[in-house]
Amino acid sequence: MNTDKPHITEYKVYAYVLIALLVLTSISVWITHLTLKAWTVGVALVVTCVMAFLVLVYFMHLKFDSMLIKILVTLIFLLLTIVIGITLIDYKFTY
Amino acid sequence: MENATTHVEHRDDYGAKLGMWIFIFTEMLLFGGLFLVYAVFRRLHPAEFHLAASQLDAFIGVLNTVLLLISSMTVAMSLTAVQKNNPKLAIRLILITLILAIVFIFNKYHEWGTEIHDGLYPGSEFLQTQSHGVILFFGLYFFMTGLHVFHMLIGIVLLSVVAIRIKKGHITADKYVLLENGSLYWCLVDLIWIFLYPLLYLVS
Repeated sequence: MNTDKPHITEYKVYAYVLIALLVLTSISVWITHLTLKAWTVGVALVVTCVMAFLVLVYFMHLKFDSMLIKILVTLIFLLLTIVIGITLIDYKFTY
Repeated sequence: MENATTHVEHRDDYGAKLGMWIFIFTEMLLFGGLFLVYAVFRRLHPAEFHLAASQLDAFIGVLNTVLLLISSMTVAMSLTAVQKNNPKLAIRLILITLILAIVFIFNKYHEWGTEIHDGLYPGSEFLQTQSHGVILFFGLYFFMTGLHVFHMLIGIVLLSVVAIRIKKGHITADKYVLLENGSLYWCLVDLIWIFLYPLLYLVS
């Protein structure tokens, strides 16, 4: 399979990703000091998801992994989103 | 069958990695369940959750996030080092990861110590007098961060084993699936913290 020719990620790629992650962390801290009200949670959630994406794709090498693993990871996140989303929708209309 | 004397080592790196990912999925679902509980209780007690979260030390939260992100990078870099046939650098990078992990746990120990001193722990007399939402928040806080630190301790043991095996020459440029899986586990610990940190520290 894809084990015969492994991809070697360069050190600098990891360094760039870390810088991006640190910038995103400061953004998430910074936005909580702003009074965006309803937007704060939304923006924080987007920033968190981008950070998780970067860790999965580069640090966990999903970018160079087989299609099967990529699909499975996507499905797990989809499952969690659906379960949490549907539960919250349920609470929105019942309480 | 007797004449088949040459022993071929059974190796299935792809299978080993797929197995690691399936294990990671179970971990994601475990923490996902806790996030679901958190989301529901936060929706039911928004004001109390804000109040309770403001009692946490936001600085330690950010500091630990940065430490964990750097440690993820160093462990990912150690894989590149092994692939480029540089075991010494790989071991150094894993050692940096382990030091960062220990500093993280040390910070957490101090943070918990302060909170317990202030009576902010599940079952404390002070917390019993607080509203339902505050009690729920601190219950979730200690359980989720505690479970996360427990995973870090397992990760520290795993990465130590990996470092020893690199030193002994068991992990090499053409045989490194254990390092790959150890690195995946450590990044999972980081991934969970990426979600935990804003939920616990940034809601205030």
